[in-house]
Amino acid sequence: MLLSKNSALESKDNEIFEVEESIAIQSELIKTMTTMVNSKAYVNERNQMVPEARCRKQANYHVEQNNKIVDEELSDWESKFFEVDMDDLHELFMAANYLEIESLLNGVTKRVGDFIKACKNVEVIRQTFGINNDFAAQQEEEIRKLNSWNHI
Amino acid sequence: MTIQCIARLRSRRVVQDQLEGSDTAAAAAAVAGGGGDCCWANLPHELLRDVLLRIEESETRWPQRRNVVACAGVCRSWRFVIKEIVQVPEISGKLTFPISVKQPGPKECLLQCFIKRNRSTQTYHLYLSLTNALTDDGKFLLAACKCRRPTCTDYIISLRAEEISKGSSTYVGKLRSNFLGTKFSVFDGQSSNAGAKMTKSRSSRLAYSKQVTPRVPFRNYPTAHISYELNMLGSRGPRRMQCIMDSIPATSIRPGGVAPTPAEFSVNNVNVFPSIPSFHSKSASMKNFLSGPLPHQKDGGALVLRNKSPRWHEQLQCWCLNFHGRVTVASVKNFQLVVSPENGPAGPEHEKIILQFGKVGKDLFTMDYRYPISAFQAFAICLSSFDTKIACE
Repeated sequence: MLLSKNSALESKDNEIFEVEESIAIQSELIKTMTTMVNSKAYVNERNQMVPEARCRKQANYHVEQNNKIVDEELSDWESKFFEVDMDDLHELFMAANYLEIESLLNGVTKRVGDFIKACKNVEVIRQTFGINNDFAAQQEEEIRKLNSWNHI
Repeated sequence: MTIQCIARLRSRRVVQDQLEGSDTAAAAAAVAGGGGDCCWANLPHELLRDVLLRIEESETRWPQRRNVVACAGVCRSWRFVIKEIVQVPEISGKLTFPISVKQPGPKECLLQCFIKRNRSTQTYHLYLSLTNALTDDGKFLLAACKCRRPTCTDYIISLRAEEISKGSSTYVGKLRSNFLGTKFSVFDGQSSNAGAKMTKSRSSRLAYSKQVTPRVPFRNYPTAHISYELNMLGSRGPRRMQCIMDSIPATSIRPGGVAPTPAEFSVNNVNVFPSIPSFHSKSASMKNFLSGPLPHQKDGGALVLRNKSPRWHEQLQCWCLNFHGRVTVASVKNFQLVVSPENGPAGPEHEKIILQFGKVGKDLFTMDYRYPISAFQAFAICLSSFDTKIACE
């Protein structure tokens, strides 16, 4: 494999990652920065906002994704990659959004959707995602009545 | 060297750890509502929309479609997004929320349903067909219970089979017959533009008005009148049906025409959920809403439906209609309704079957309907076919 240029990315907690440039630019954000700055190694000030754990996960995601050519292997690997708890999943979501990595964002969106579909009802969705019921009492009562129709 | 990067400011870019504990920032960058400190409750609008859109697009059939309805019941922000995404049956051909049963059916095709009759309890249950098979479990839509009175008969129609009464909050409407069973009136428990109060503000996605309309006394709104009569062959021939759809204008079937599309069920006519403003100018639901209460006195009046006349089949010695395989047992109750050309010559829009009803088993009937009538109106019309005594051998 040809050695390609590496980018150095610094995360919020001052850790520096060396990532192949071809992988780094999967992030639309980094790609934009790279084309604007045109430098092989740079300190990305914006990336200071991204905690270390996320950065590592992004790098890993892309390295592995690029290595897996066979579809079944990829989908197996992807399911394992997304087997994380709700907090980590949220972190991934935020990072993928911030760094604008399309493929990772699609993967997380799908995973979140799968979680929702696995919930039996509204209460379970709320518990899983830690969301409070903020409907007014009258609205809540109405929802309950109309949604009982949902399960007949 | 200081590198100055011009950061593109996009609402998607929310970095959670910077915003924790910062109410102002959270409100600016995330969807309001959801409550609590939890990160998932403050998901940015676009991300929440992507997740819920994916669910809506994948759960197209029942029973999976209940996941879409469930998402609308989680919290205000989720409800807002789901209501934005889900399209009315007229466009999508899908029934989603309970209010779907009162919205016009699809324009492009007939929506297939079936009715189960229970003679012992005098009840009728309407289901949405899940497959093309004539027998499947179906998704429950509406229930009706027959109540005989001294001078008339009422069929009370409800969203819950166990709660069939006028006072119940699941009451949808009723069908009332006259003493002879020749004329029927369909009543809606709410007016055709109830639950569709529009907010003026289009500027903020986060607008979620808490306005409610003033309480009005509970009442029934006439939505259709049905009459049966013998044809010139008397009781030996098929009966004639006419339905005057008071709440649907005749213009609804013309190109660009609209039919009333309620947005929400209201509790005792109080608007519990103010209508979500649409940000898509092409949204048909908003277009339908903007049409408002359509005065049926103008522009040709109310829509009138008539039954298609069967043809006498000399060899089979019976009256025949082409039900396209959806009706398999001969019965005087079977019918097809088309738009009657009340004013002027018949055009292609008068050929389309708007409602088709017929027997497929001992207590099993198919009911297929389309725009501009709703499942509720179709169900009520079919119930009248059960009740009328005209031309019954």
